[in-house]
Amino acid sequence: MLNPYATFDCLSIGAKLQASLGNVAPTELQLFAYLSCLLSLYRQRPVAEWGYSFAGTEYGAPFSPEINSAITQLIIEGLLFEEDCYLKVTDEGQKEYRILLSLSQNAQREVFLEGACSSLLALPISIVREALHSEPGLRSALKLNSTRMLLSEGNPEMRMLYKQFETLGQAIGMKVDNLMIPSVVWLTYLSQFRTTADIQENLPCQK
Amino acid sequence: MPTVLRLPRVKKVVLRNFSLFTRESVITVDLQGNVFCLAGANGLGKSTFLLALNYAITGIVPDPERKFESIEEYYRYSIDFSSRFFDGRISQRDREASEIYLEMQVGQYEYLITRSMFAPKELRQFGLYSTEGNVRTPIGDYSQLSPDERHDSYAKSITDHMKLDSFEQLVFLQHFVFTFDERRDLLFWNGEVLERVLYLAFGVNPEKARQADLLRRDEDKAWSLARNYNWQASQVRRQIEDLEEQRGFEFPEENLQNLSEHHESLLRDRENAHNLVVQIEDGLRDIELRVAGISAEQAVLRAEYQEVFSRYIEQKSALEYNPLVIVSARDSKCGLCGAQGEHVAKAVVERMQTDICPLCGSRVDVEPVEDRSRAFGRLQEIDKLLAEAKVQLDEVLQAKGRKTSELEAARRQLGSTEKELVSLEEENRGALERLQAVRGTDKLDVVLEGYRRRMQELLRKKDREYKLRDKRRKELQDLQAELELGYVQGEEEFVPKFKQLARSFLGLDLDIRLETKRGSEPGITLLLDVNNTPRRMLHQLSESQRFFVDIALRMALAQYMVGVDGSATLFIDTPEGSLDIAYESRAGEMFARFIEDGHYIVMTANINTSQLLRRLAERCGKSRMRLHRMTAWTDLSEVQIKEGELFERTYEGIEKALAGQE
Repeated sequence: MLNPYATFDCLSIGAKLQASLGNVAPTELQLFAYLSCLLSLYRQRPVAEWGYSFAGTEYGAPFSPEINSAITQLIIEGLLFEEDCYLKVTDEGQKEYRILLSLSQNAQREVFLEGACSSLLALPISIVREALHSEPGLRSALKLNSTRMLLSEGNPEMRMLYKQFETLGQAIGMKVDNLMIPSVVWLTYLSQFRTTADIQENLPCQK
Repeated sequence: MPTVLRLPRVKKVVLRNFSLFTRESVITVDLQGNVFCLAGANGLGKSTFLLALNYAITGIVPDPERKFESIEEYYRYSIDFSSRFFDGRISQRDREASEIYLEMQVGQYEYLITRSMFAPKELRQFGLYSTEGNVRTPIGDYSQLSPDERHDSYAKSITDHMKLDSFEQLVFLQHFVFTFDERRDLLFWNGEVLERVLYLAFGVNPEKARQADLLRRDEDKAWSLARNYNWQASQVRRQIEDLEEQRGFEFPEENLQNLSEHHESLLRDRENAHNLVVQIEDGLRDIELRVAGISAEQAVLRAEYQEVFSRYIEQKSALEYNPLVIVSARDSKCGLCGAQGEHVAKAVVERMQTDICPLCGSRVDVEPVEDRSRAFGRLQEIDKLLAEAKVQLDEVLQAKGRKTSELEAARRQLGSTEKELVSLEEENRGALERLQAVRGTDKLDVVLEGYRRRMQELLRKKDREYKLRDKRRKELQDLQAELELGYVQGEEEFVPKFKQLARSFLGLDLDIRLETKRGSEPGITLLLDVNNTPRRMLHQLSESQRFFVDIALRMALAQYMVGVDGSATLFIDTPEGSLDIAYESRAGEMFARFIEDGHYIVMTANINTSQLLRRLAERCGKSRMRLHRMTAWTDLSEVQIKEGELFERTYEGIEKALAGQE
């Protein structure tokens, strides 16, 4: 059965990224859906309320089977259009997105989706992608070369993530209306963290 | 003479969709010859194969964590474990389709059964044939029965044909005597199990063995309960003594008025604090119920939201939105055959406008718009209900947070009052006891009377259980006497078999004798002795040597149970352990003796330089022994692939021994 939250997220993220990038790759839909989910976590919403789950793949990219199925179904329904491995939200899709936005279930999510996608106003997509590789759960999947469920309570990576969000909250406040600010600050921190970590890992042996 | 049993001889096994063996979806194994040896490297699933084989026969996989209590309980309590055992070993995808098929012979009867790997008390297929005088005649038609009725029919038939009294006895014998598996549970060192085996092997008949099993279980339980009641009674007695001591306490004269008032005030405070805690806990429980109620409502609404949403989105599948149609009309190029030109777009658009499918020309029903809007209307309703439920839940959760804080404060208050009370009572113990005695002599008597009644009740129960235990012991002693007689009659046949097998392995004359205990604690067991040497010699046997002495015991028991005309099959899982090269060879010799007496072994073995397999192969030859390589069943590890040549050389060595070339 189609997951309604993943379906709406695909249309919403697709419409937003299309406005800034022209079209959107399926992996980018997955990436921004995951970033949106992280922002809801930052706002202290339980992960279970997000409505679908993600796995971290060995390539350091998030993957949600629900998003994947939603993309397939939206193409069949003519609400997304696939060309050369990129997707576009069709006019019908844009119309459907606006209709679905009128439901409060979706309107509540929109703030997180908006926050995630508007990061592109401040950061190039390559930086967003690279920065998320250093998100604790994805970093662990990448380093250990294994696929694992992300954002599972009790994982050490979750504790690390909460710690980062706590620091972030202290720095800019939990209550900021526009989630673009914490999103950009956190992504920038992750991207620096990644650079530093890479530098440290690549240092020659000290004799 | 005890009943002569007929034991199953497995002839063919087929595993279907057994995901552990990744390279073959159907694995067929013919168990021809007296020795069938499944040989493979570590971690390929050899033990699982043997477990599956036993599971097919009994529906049960042994639970290594469960302590043996009785034959009936072993079966009953293993069913749940068995239904979950293959989780993880068989993938979710193959769960429904996975099954094991078995062909086996029990005396003159042929059994064909198919069992799902997740339903221990069901059979997917059951066929039963009489093969008397080489004529194969079907007995009954079980195809119309339900799977559990089929299992029941199978259990009843095989129990009768094996000449046992219950299917549980079959399961017990199969798991504890005829199988030496990775549990390494040794009969000689497990008195509870060995006693049951002796009743089945040497008792008058399996019915009496069942009685002995139940009597032993009831006796153990009654004894345990009696001890328990006795202990409880002694605790109560101690309390009575304490109270009686308090009553006779001599108090010093002093002014107790202030102390009394303060003490009573603290008692009241404690009661109030306790009541408050109880009251808040009750309120909190109500709130938690409310949370559960709203959460359940949300779950139902979410499920409906998902279902209606799917219907709503999937109704959009009109032809005009099909990607193939869109591309064909937009690019004037057929998305299917690649033809180009204006006519392509024209044809597609014309057909679409007249509700004709552009591909096959069929008429298309126009999407019912009202259905979509009805679905969206319902979505809006559910959305509203979900939003309301969320508001309610937030409110209730806030109330829960408040109540939780209140409860913490009330518990703190109760704790501090209790602490103050305890400290006051500790400091003024003598004075307070005097007060209590003065005020409450009557109350104390009432309390003491209650304790005395409780103690009498416990002592009565203790006596009742001891009587029951003694009664069961008496009955058991009668059966034990019959067993002793049966053993004496069978000893001349059984003991030499064991001695011969054990000697072929150890090179020592082991003696075996029945030891019975009478009177207060009856019981019966087998003792192992080395002729003319002190008993402690036995403790010098290494763990692996003990394994083989125990296998010798199982072989001798099996041979004895089937009588001179019958045959037995032993299932042995990777027995070689850490024997040295000489003992390995002698173990092979012992197995060969068992085979030469007309019996069968189904075994698994690691591919190593063990002399056991070589010696067995030399003695049995190709006509009586089959080596089945397991490497084709599943993927090997990287190390195993790299060192494949080593395995090949070892296989070849054993094959040569089988062919008599080594």
